[in-house]
Amino acid sequence: MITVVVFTLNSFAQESNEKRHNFGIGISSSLSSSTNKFLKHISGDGVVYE
Amino acid sequence: MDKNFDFNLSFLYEFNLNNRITFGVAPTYRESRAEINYLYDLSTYGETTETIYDIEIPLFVDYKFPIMRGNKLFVGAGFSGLFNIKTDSQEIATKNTFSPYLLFRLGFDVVGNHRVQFLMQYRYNLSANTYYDGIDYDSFPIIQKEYFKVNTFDVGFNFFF
Repeated sequence: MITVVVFTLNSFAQESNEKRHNFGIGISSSLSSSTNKFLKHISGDGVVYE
Repeated sequence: MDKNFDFNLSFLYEFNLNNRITFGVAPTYRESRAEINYLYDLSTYGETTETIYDIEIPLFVDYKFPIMRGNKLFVGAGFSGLFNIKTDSQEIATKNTFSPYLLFRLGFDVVGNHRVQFLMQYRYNLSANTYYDGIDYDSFPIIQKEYFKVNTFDVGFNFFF
């Protein structure tokens, strides 16, 4: 029993000290988006409307 | 502008410093359908639906809570740059622009033969420098510039090899 406990703790310790490089692929979608905007209108003769 | 569909595909690289702290980068291709209001003339608005293409480079740090072995809740934060890819249509032209984002992440790891990660991510747009031009082809020429801030809440899955 004691051996099992020590083995388990040792496994946690090894896991926490391990440095690893991982590669993967991710997919996601935006559930919501919020938008605000600033408008500027420039007419053909260069007049700026804000 | 209202986004009504958004699909994102990422390539993931993670460096696990230890069991709790992870650094990562996830180059992402983002494709959005957006309804854009544009000025037809000085008093009339039109509306068009456009597909917008972006490339995003997020950098992040995650902290994992070792609640149980293998399955780990994590929180994280990051910074990303969004690069809009220029597109043209009859009414709207999107520009090559750069937008900085802050990222707030929350997720859960399930470790089997391969690790699968459920990720929720809020993206906060720091500055409104993504913009679109409305183009009027009538005799009254108007160049319209719209500067947007777009914040999103993304949900998805990451699959590790």
